[in-house]
Amino acid sequence: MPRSARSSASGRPGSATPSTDLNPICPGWLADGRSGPGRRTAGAHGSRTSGRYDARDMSSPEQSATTPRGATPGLHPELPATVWEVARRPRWIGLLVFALVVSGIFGLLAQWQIERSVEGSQPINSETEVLKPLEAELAPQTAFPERAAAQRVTVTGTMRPGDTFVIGDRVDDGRTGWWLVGRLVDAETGASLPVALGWAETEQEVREAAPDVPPAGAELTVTGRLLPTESPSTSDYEADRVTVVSSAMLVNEWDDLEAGIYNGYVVADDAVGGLQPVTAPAPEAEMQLNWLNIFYAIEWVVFAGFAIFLWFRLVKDRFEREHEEAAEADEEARLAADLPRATAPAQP
Amino acid sequence: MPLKPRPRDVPKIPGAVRFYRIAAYVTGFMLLLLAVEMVLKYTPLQMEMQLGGEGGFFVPVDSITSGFNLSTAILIAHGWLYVVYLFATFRLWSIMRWDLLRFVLIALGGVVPFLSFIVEHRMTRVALAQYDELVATTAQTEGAPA
Repeated sequence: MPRSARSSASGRPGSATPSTDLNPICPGWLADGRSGPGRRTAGAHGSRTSGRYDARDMSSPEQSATTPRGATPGLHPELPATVWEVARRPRWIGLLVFALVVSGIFGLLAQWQIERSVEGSQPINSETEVLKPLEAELAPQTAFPERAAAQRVTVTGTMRPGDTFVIGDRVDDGRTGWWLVGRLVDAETGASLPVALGWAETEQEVREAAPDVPPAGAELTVTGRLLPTESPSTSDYEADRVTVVSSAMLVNEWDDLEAGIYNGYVVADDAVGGLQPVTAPAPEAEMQLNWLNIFYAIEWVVFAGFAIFLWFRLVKDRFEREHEEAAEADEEARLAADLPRATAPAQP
Repeated sequence: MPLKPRPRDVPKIPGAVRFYRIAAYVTGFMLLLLAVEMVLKYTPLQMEMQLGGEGGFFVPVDSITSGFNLSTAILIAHGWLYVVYLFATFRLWSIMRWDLLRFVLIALGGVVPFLSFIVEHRMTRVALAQYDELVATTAQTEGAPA
Protein backbone atom coordinates (compact mmCIF):
# COMPACT_ATOMS: atom_id res chain seq x y z
CA MET A 1 0.00 0.00 0.00
CA PRO A 2 2.62 2.58 0.84
CA ARG A 3 4.67 1.33 -2.06
CA SER A 4 2.04 2.24 -4.57
CA ALA A 5 1.61 5.53 -2.83
CA ARG A 6 5.29 6.20 -3.22
CA SER A 7 5.43 5.22 -6.84
CA SER A 8 2.63 7.61 -7.57
CA ALA A 9 4.41 10.24 -5.52
CA SER A 10 7.64 9.85 -7.41
CA GLY A 11 5.76 10.07 -10.64
CA ARG A 12 4.14 13.19 -9.41
CA PRO A 13 6.44 15.91 -10.76
CA GLY A 14 5.99 14.74 -14.30
CA SER A 15 2.36 13.72 -14.16
CA ALA A 16 0.60 16.94 -13.29
CA THR A 17 1.22 20.66 -13.01
CA PRO A 18 3.40 21.50 -10.04
CA SER A 19 0.95 23.97 -8.56
CA THR A 20 -1.94 21.55 -8.20
CA ASP A 21 0.48 19.00 -6.93
CA LEU A 22 2.07 21.09 -4.26
CA ASN A 23 -0.92 22.94 -3.02
CA PRO A 24 -2.62 20.09 -1.24
CA ILE A 25 0.58 19.52 0.70
CA CYS A 26 0.83 23.05 1.98
CA PRO A 27 -1.80 22.76 4.69
CA GLY A 28 0.05 19.74 5.93
CA TRP A 29 3.27 21.69 6.49
CA LEU A 30 1.46 24.50 8.17
CA ALA A 31 -0.64 22.28 10.39
CA ASP A 32 2.26 20.32 11.79
CA GLY A 33 5.36 22.18 12.83
CA ARG A 34 7.45 19.04 13.13
CA SER A 35 6.60 17.43 9.84
CA GLY A 36 6.55 20.74 8.04
CA PRO A 37 10.25 21.55 7.77
CA GLY A 38 11.28 18.01 6.97
CA ARG A 39 8.62 17.73 4.39
CA ARG A 40 9.43 20.96 2.72
CA THR A 41 13.14 20.16 2.59
CA ALA A 42 12.56 16.73 1.16
CA GLY A 43 9.86 17.60 -1.30
CA ALA A 44 11.49 20.81 -2.33
CA HIS A 45 14.37 19.06 -3.98
CA GLY A 46 12.28 18.55 -7.03
CA SER A 47 13.22 16.25 -9.82
CA ARG A 48 16.97 16.45 -9.18
CA THR A 49 16.83 14.87 -5.77
CA SER A 50 13.62 12.96 -6.11
CA GLY A 51 15.63 9.76 -6.35
CA ARG A 52 17.20 10.41 -2.98
CA TYR A 53 13.87 11.32 -1.57
CA ASP A 54 12.43 7.98 -2.61
CA ALA A 55 15.36 6.05 -1.20
CA ARG A 56 14.83 7.84 2.03
CA ASP A 57 11.28 6.66 2.31
CA MET A 58 12.13 3.11 1.35
CA SER A 59 14.51 2.80 4.26
CA SER A 60 11.71 2.83 6.76
CA PRO A 61 9.33 0.24 5.45
CA GLU A 62 8.58 -1.06 8.92
CA GLN A 63 7.16 2.26 9.85
CA SER A 64 5.18 2.70 6.70
CA ALA A 65 3.82 -0.77 7.04
CA THR A 66 2.43 -0.20 10.50
CA THR A 67 1.28 3.31 9.86
CA PRO A 68 -2.39 3.56 9.07
CA ARG A 69 -3.14 5.63 6.03
CA GLY A 70 -3.57 9.30 6.87
CA ALA A 71 -2.38 8.95 10.47
CA THR A 72 -0.90 12.07 12.00
CA PRO A 73 2.57 11.87 13.62
CA GLY A 74 1.22 12.27 17.14
CA LEU A 75 -0.88 9.15 16.78
CA HIS A 76 1.90 6.72 15.88
CA PRO A 77 1.85 4.29 18.78
CA GLU A 78 5.27 2.84 17.94
CA LEU A 79 7.01 6.19 17.99
CA PRO A 80 8.95 7.07 21.13
CA ALA A 81 7.11 9.72 23.13
CA THR A 82 10.26 11.10 24.69
CA VAL A 83 13.97 11.09 24.02
CA TRP A 84 14.40 8.91 27.10
CA GLU A 85 12.35 6.17 25.53
CA VAL A 86 14.99 5.97 22.82
CA ALA A 87 17.72 6.13 25.44
CA ARG A 88 16.30 3.11 27.26
CA ARG A 89 16.60 0.83 24.26
CA PRO A 90 19.30 -1.85 24.68
CA ARG A 91 21.31 -0.48 21.77
CA TRP A 92 21.46 2.98 23.28
CA ILE A 93 22.14 1.66 26.76
CA GLY A 94 25.03 -0.25 25.23
CA LEU A 95 26.28 2.91 23.57
CA LEU A 96 25.90 4.76 26.85
CA VAL A 97 28.08 2.15 28.52
CA PHE A 98 30.60 2.68 25.76
CA ALA A 99 30.42 6.47 26.18
CA LEU A 100 30.90 6.04 29.93
CA VAL A 101 33.92 3.81 29.36
CA VAL A 102 35.45 6.36 26.99
CA SER A 103 34.61 9.12 29.44
CA GLY A 104 36.17 7.07 32.23
CA ILE A 105 39.37 6.63 30.25
CA PHE A 106 39.47 10.38 29.66
CA GLY A 107 38.89 10.85 33.38
CA LEU A 108 41.83 8.59 34.16
CA LEU A 109 43.96 10.57 31.72
CA ALA A 110 42.93 13.72 33.55
CA GLN A 111 43.89 12.14 36.85
CA TRP A 112 47.21 11.05 35.40
CA GLN A 113 47.90 14.60 34.25
CA ILE A 114 47.05 15.95 37.69
CA GLU A 115 49.42 13.46 39.26
CA ARG A 116 52.11 14.51 36.83
CA SER A 117 51.48 18.16 37.61
CA VAL A 118 52.43 17.70 41.28
CA GLU A 119 55.12 15.14 40.61
CA GLY A 120 58.62 16.51 41.10
CA SER A 121 57.30 19.27 43.27
CA GLN A 122 56.97 17.00 46.25
CA PRO A 123 59.66 17.01 48.92
CA ILE A 124 62.19 14.21 48.70
CA ASN A 125 61.29 13.10 52.18
CA SER A 126 57.74 13.55 53.35
CA GLU A 127 58.48 12.20 56.82
CA THR A 128 60.87 14.84 58.08
CA GLU A 129 58.53 15.65 60.96
CA VAL A 130 58.37 12.04 62.17
CA LEU A 131 60.86 11.62 65.00
CA LYS A 132 63.40 8.91 64.17
CA PRO A 133 66.56 7.61 65.82
CA LEU A 134 69.63 9.32 64.40
CA GLU A 135 71.30 6.01 63.64
CA ALA A 136 68.45 5.02 61.33
CA GLU A 137 69.04 8.09 59.20
CA LEU A 138 72.77 8.58 59.17
CA ALA A 139 75.74 6.31 59.82
CA PRO A 140 79.03 7.77 61.06
CA GLN A 141 81.69 8.44 58.46
CA THR A 142 79.30 8.17 55.53
CA ALA A 143 78.10 10.70 53.04
CA PHE A 144 74.98 12.57 54.11
CA PRO A 145 72.00 11.12 52.23
CA GLU A 146 69.80 13.76 50.64
CA ARG A 147 66.63 12.35 52.11
CA ALA A 148 67.93 12.67 55.67
CA ALA A 149 68.14 16.46 55.38
CA ALA A 150 65.98 18.27 57.94
CA GLN A 151 64.82 15.00 59.44
CA ARG A 152 63.63 15.20 63.04
CA VAL A 153 65.81 12.83 65.03
CA THR A 154 66.49 11.77 68.55
CA VAL A 155 69.90 10.67 69.76
CA THR A 156 71.14 9.52 73.16
CA GLY A 157 74.71 10.03 74.35
CA THR A 158 76.98 12.07 76.53
CA MET A 159 78.35 15.55 76.00
CA ARG A 160 82.04 16.39 75.88
CA PRO A 161 81.88 19.94 77.38
CA GLY A 162 85.55 20.51 76.68
CA ASP A 163 84.94 20.33 72.97
CA THR A 164 82.20 22.93 72.94
CA PHE A 165 82.90 25.80 70.58
CA VAL A 166 81.36 29.04 69.42
CA ILE A 167 80.73 30.04 65.83
CA GLY A 168 79.75 33.42 64.48
CA ASP A 169 77.93 34.91 61.57
CA ARG A 170 74.88 32.71 62.11
CA VAL A 171 71.64 34.16 60.82
CA ASP A 172 68.66 33.18 62.88
CA ASP A 173 65.24 34.35 61.84
CA GLY A 174 66.76 37.30 60.01
CA ARG A 175 69.14 38.36 62.82
CA THR A 176 72.84 37.66 62.75
CA GLY A 177 74.32 36.17 65.90
CA TRP A 178 76.33 33.36 67.42
CA TRP A 179 75.85 29.65 68.02
CA LEU A 180 77.05 27.41 70.77
CA VAL A 181 77.96 24.03 69.33
CA GLY A 182 78.63 21.00 71.52
CA ARG A 183 80.01 17.56 70.92
CA LEU A 184 77.72 14.64 71.67
CA VAL A 185 79.15 11.16 71.72
CA ASP A 186 76.47 8.78 70.50
CA ALA A 187 75.95 6.07 73.10
CA GLU A 188 75.04 3.55 70.44
CA THR A 189 77.81 4.03 67.88
CA GLY A 190 80.40 5.94 69.87
CA ALA A 191 80.70 8.41 67.01
CA SER A 192 80.72 12.13 67.62
CA LEU A 193 77.95 14.44 66.57
CA PRO A 194 78.01 18.25 66.56
CA VAL A 195 74.91 19.67 68.23
CA ALA A 196 73.78 23.27 67.89
CA LEU A 197 72.91 24.09 71.48
CA GLY A 198 71.54 27.61 71.09
CA TRP A 199 71.73 31.04 69.58
CA ALA A 200 72.36 34.52 70.95
CA GLU A 201 72.88 37.89 69.38
CA THR A 202 76.31 38.51 70.97
CA GLU A 203 79.34 36.32 71.33
CA GLN A 204 79.45 37.24 74.99
CA GLU A 205 76.05 35.69 75.73
CA VAL A 206 77.01 32.52 73.96
CA ARG A 207 80.29 32.17 75.81
CA GLU A 208 78.48 32.71 79.10
CA ALA A 209 76.14 29.83 78.34
CA ALA A 210 78.97 27.39 77.62
CA PRO A 211 79.32 26.25 81.27
CA ASP A 212 75.66 25.17 81.19
CA VAL A 213 76.42 22.37 78.75
CA PRO A 214 75.59 19.10 80.53
CA PRO A 215 78.65 17.52 82.09
CA ALA A 216 80.49 14.57 80.64
CA GLY A 217 79.23 11.19 81.77
CA ALA A 218 75.63 12.28 82.17
CA GLU A 219 73.68 10.46 79.52
CA LEU A 220 71.07 12.62 77.85
CA THR A 221 68.75 12.46 74.92
CA VAL A 222 68.84 15.24 72.36
CA THR A 223 65.89 15.84 70.10
CA GLY A 224 66.21 18.08 67.09
CA ARG A 225 66.58 18.48 63.37
CA LEU A 226 69.35 16.75 61.48
CA LEU A 227 71.17 18.87 58.93
CA PRO A 228 74.03 18.06 56.59
CA THR A 229 77.49 19.15 57.56
CA GLU A 230 78.68 22.44 56.13
CA SER A 231 81.69 23.02 53.93
CA PRO A 232 84.82 24.20 55.68
CA SER A 233 85.59 27.80 54.90
CA THR A 234 89.10 28.85 53.86
CA SER A 235 88.35 32.49 54.50
CA ASP A 236 87.42 31.53 58.06
CA TYR A 237 90.73 29.77 58.45
CA GLU A 238 92.58 32.78 57.19
CA ALA A 239 90.61 35.13 59.45
CA ASP A 240 91.04 32.74 62.37
CA ARG A 241 87.36 32.41 63.11
CA VAL A 242 84.66 29.82 62.68
CA THR A 243 81.30 30.38 61.03
CA VAL A 244 80.37 26.85 59.93
CA VAL A 245 79.56 23.49 61.48
CA SER A 246 81.91 21.36 59.43
CA SER A 247 82.73 17.80 60.35
CA ALA A 248 85.73 17.93 58.04
CA MET A 249 87.10 20.76 60.15
CA LEU A 250 86.12 19.23 63.48
CA VAL A 251 88.05 16.09 62.71
CA ASN A 252 91.14 18.21 63.23
CA GLU A 253 89.80 19.90 66.35
CA TRP A 254 88.44 16.98 68.34
CA ASP A 255 90.36 14.09 69.88
CA ASP A 256 89.30 10.48 70.43
CA LEU A 257 87.53 10.10 67.11
CA GLU A 258 88.22 6.38 66.72
CA ALA A 259 84.49 5.69 66.37
CA GLY A 260 84.23 8.39 63.72
CA ILE A 261 82.16 11.49 63.25
CA TYR A 262 78.81 12.12 61.67
CA ASN A 263 78.74 14.10 58.46
CA GLY A 264 75.89 16.16 59.81
CA TYR A 265 74.77 18.01 62.89
CA VAL A 266 71.65 18.26 64.97
CA VAL A 267 69.94 21.50 65.87
CA ALA A 268 68.67 20.80 69.38
CA ASP A 269 65.10 21.73 70.26
CA ASP A 270 66.14 22.84 73.71
CA ALA A 271 68.86 25.43 74.17
CA VAL A 272 71.28 25.39 77.06
CA GLY A 273 71.61 28.22 79.57
CA GLY A 274 69.90 31.42 78.57
CA LEU A 275 70.31 30.87 74.85
CA GLN A 276 67.51 30.72 72.34
CA PRO A 277 66.96 27.50 70.49
CA VAL A 278 68.31 27.75 66.96
CA THR A 279 65.55 28.19 64.45
CA ALA A 280 65.32 25.15 62.19
CA PRO A 281 62.05 25.16 60.35
CA ALA A 282 60.56 22.21 58.55
CA PRO A 283 61.44 22.16 54.85
CA GLU A 284 58.79 23.84 52.79
CA ALA A 285 57.03 21.51 50.45
CA GLU A 286 57.53 23.37 47.22
CA MET A 287 54.21 22.86 45.59
CA GLN A 288 55.20 24.30 42.30
CA LEU A 289 52.48 23.03 40.04
CA ASN A 290 53.12 22.14 36.47
CA TRP A 291 50.51 24.23 34.70
CA LEU A 292 50.91 22.45 31.42
CA ASN A 293 49.67 19.25 33.05
CA ILE A 294 46.92 21.10 34.90
CA PHE A 295 45.61 22.44 31.61
CA TYR A 296 45.80 19.02 30.02
CA ALA A 297 43.90 17.60 32.97
CA ILE A 298 41.12 20.17 32.51
CA GLU A 299 41.04 19.33 28.82
CA TRP A 300 40.59 15.67 29.49
CA VAL A 301 37.73 16.48 31.84
CA VAL A 302 36.15 18.53 29.04
CA PHE A 303 36.57 15.60 26.64
CA ALA A 304 35.11 13.20 29.20
CA GLY A 305 32.03 15.38 29.50
CA PHE A 306 31.86 15.67 25.76
CA ALA A 307 31.75 11.89 25.28
CA ILE A 308 28.59 11.73 27.39
CA PHE A 309 27.08 14.74 25.69
CA LEU A 310 27.75 13.24 22.28
CA TRP A 311 25.83 10.14 23.29
CA PHE A 312 22.89 12.28 24.31
CA ARG A 313 23.04 14.16 21.04
CA LEU A 314 22.95 10.90 19.07
CA VAL A 315 19.98 9.66 21.06
CA LYS A 316 18.16 12.91 20.40
CA ASP A 317 19.01 12.66 16.72
CA ARG A 318 17.63 9.16 16.59
CA PHE A 319 14.45 10.30 18.31
CA GLU A 320 13.96 13.18 15.91
CA ARG A 321 14.76 11.03 12.92
CA GLU A 322 12.07 8.52 13.81
CA HIS A 323 9.52 11.27 14.14
CA GLU A 324 10.53 12.87 10.90
CA GLU A 325 10.42 9.59 9.08
CA ALA A 326 6.97 8.92 10.45
CA ALA A 327 5.87 12.38 9.43
CA GLU A 328 7.14 11.80 5.95
CA ALA A 329 5.40 8.48 5.79
CA ASP A 330 2.24 10.29 6.82
CA GLU A 331 2.68 12.78 4.07
CA GLU A 332 3.18 9.95 1.65
CA ALA A 333 0.02 8.30 2.89
CA ARG A 334 -1.87 11.55 2.66
CA LEU A 335 -0.61 12.10 -0.85
CA ALA A 336 -1.59 8.60 -1.79
CA ALA A 337 -5.06 9.25 -0.45
CA ASP A 338 -5.37 12.60 -2.19
CA LEU A 339 -3.70 11.88 -5.45
CA PRO A 340 -6.18 9.43 -6.91
CA ARG A 341 -8.74 12.20 -6.70
CA ALA A 342 -6.49 14.97 -7.95
CA THR A 343 -4.68 13.06 -10.65
CA ALA A 344 -6.93 10.15 -11.35
CA PRO A 345 -5.43 9.25 -14.72
CA ALA A 346 -2.01 8.69 -13.16
CA GLN A 347 -3.31 5.82 -11.03
CA PRO A 348 -3.76 2.55 -12.94
CA MET B 1 19.83 7.61 5.40
CA PRO B 2 21.44 10.96 6.03
CA LEU B 3 19.41 13.59 7.79
CA LYS B 4 19.24 17.04 6.34
CA PRO B 5 19.82 20.27 8.20
CA ARG B 6 16.73 21.71 9.80
CA PRO B 7 15.40 24.69 7.85
CA ARG B 8 15.87 26.98 10.85
CA ASP B 9 19.54 25.93 10.90
CA VAL B 10 20.15 26.58 7.21
CA PRO B 11 21.02 30.28 7.62
CA LYS B 12 23.59 29.28 10.25
CA ILE B 13 25.54 27.08 7.85
CA PRO B 14 27.83 29.73 6.26
CA GLY B 15 28.80 31.05 9.69
CA ALA B 16 29.41 27.59 11.06
CA VAL B 17 31.53 26.74 8.02
CA ARG B 18 33.56 29.93 8.44
CA PHE B 19 34.12 29.26 12.14
CA TYR B 20 35.10 25.68 11.35
CA ARG B 21 37.48 26.75 8.60
CA ILE B 22 39.28 29.28 10.79
CA ALA B 23 39.54 26.76 13.62
CA ALA B 24 40.80 24.11 11.19
CA TYR B 25 43.51 26.36 9.78
CA VAL B 26 44.62 27.52 13.21
CA THR B 27 44.66 23.99 14.59
CA GLY B 28 46.43 22.66 11.50
CA PHE B 29 49.08 25.34 11.81
CA MET B 30 49.51 24.80 15.54
CA LEU B 31 49.79 21.08 14.96
CA LEU B 32 52.62 21.64 12.50
CA LEU B 33 54.37 23.88 15.05
CA LEU B 34 53.86 21.16 17.61
CA ALA B 35 55.33 18.58 15.26
CA VAL B 36 58.40 20.79 14.74
CA GLU B 37 58.70 21.20 18.48
CA MET B 38 58.46 17.46 19.08
CA VAL B 39 61.18 16.85 16.52
CA LEU B 40 63.41 19.42 18.19
CA LYS B 41 62.74 18.09 21.67
CA TYR B 42 62.67 14.33 21.33
CA THR B 43 65.27 13.71 18.68
CA PRO B 44 69.00 13.93 19.49
CA LEU B 45 68.71 17.67 18.88
CA GLN B 46 67.17 18.02 22.37
CA MET B 47 66.22 21.63 21.82
CA GLU B 48 63.51 23.88 23.14
CA MET B 49 62.44 27.27 21.89
CA GLN B 50 62.42 30.40 23.95
CA LEU B 51 61.78 34.08 23.49
CA GLY B 52 63.89 36.76 25.05
CA GLY B 53 66.01 34.55 27.26
CA GLU B 54 69.72 34.04 27.43
CA GLY B 55 71.35 31.81 24.85
CA GLY B 56 69.27 32.59 21.79
CA PHE B 57 66.11 31.08 20.35
CA PHE B 58 67.04 27.40 20.44
CA VAL B 59 68.31 26.18 23.79
CA PRO B 60 68.84 22.72 25.26
CA VAL B 61 65.84 21.04 26.88
CA ASP B 62 65.04 22.12 30.47
CA SER B 63 67.54 24.95 30.42
CA ILE B 64 65.05 27.79 30.10
CA THR B 65 65.12 30.01 33.16
CA SER B 66 64.94 33.62 32.06
CA GLY B 67 63.20 33.53 28.69
CA PHE B 68 59.62 32.88 27.71
CA ASN B 69 59.26 29.16 27.10
CA LEU B 70 57.80 29.07 23.63
CA SER B 71 57.72 25.27 23.53
CA THR B 72 55.46 24.98 26.54
CA ALA B 73 53.34 27.85 25.24
CA ILE B 74 52.82 25.96 21.99
CA LEU B 75 51.77 22.86 23.92
CA ILE B 76 49.20 24.74 25.97
CA ALA B 77 47.93 26.83 23.07
CA HIS B 78 47.56 23.80 20.82
CA GLY B 79 45.71 21.93 23.55
CA TRP B 80 43.09 24.62 23.95
CA LEU B 81 42.84 25.58 20.32
CA TYR B 82 42.08 21.96 19.64
CA VAL B 83 39.18 22.23 22.06
CA VAL B 84 37.96 25.25 20.07
CA TYR B 85 38.41 23.24 16.87
CA LEU B 86 36.42 20.39 18.37
CA PHE B 87 33.68 22.79 19.32
CA ALA B 88 33.60 24.32 15.83
CA THR B 89 33.50 20.84 14.36
CA PHE B 90 30.71 19.81 16.65
CA ARG B 91 28.70 22.88 15.78
CA LEU B 92 29.01 22.34 12.05
CA TRP B 93 28.39 18.64 12.40
CA SER B 94 25.28 19.26 14.51
CA ILE B 95 23.84 21.75 12.06
CA MET B 96 24.61 19.59 9.04
CA ARG B 97 23.36 16.49 10.88
CA TRP B 98 26.13 14.39 9.44
CA ASP B 99 26.82 10.89 10.72
CA LEU B 100 29.08 10.09 13.65
CA LEU B 101 31.88 8.70 11.50
CA ARG B 102 32.33 12.04 9.84
CA PHE B 103 32.60 13.72 13.22
CA VAL B 104 35.33 11.30 14.24
CA LEU B 105 37.12 11.92 10.96
CA ILE B 106 37.07 15.69 11.39
CA ALA B 107 38.12 15.40 15.03
CA LEU B 108 41.10 13.29 13.97
CA GLY B 109 42.00 16.03 11.52
CA GLY B 110 43.24 18.09 14.44
CA VAL B 111 45.51 15.33 15.67
CA VAL B 112 47.21 14.02 12.53
CA PRO B 113 49.52 16.58 10.94
CA PHE B 114 48.28 17.92 7.58
CA LEU B 115 45.05 15.91 7.81
CA SER B 116 43.14 18.96 9.01
CA PHE B 117 43.86 20.79 5.76
CA ILE B 118 42.61 17.90 3.64
CA VAL B 119 39.55 17.32 5.80
CA GLU B 120 38.83 21.03 5.97
CA HIS B 121 38.88 21.32 2.19
CA ARG B 122 36.52 18.40 1.71
CA MET B 123 34.12 19.24 4.51
CA THR B 124 33.82 22.86 3.47
CA ARG B 125 33.00 21.78 -0.06
CA VAL B 126 30.45 19.22 1.09
CA ALA B 127 28.82 21.59 3.55
CA LEU B 128 28.60 24.49 1.13
CA ALA B 129 27.29 22.27 -1.66
CA GLN B 130 24.60 21.01 0.67
CA TYR B 131 23.86 24.55 1.71
CA ASP B 132 23.54 25.78 -1.87
CA GLU B 133 21.23 22.93 -2.65
CA LEU B 134 19.06 23.70 0.36
CA VAL B 135 18.89 27.39 -0.45
CA ALA B 136 18.04 26.66 -4.06
CA THR B 137 15.29 24.23 -3.18
CA THR B 138 13.86 26.51 -0.52
CA ALA B 139 13.69 29.32 -3.05
CA GLN B 140 11.99 26.94 -5.45
CA THR B 141 9.26 25.85 -3.07
CA GLU B 142 8.66 29.34 -1.84
CA GLY B 143 8.39 30.54 -5.38
CA ALA B 144 6.28 27.65 -6.64
CA PRO B 145 2.91 28.28 -4.97
CA ALA B 146 3.02 32.00 -5.75
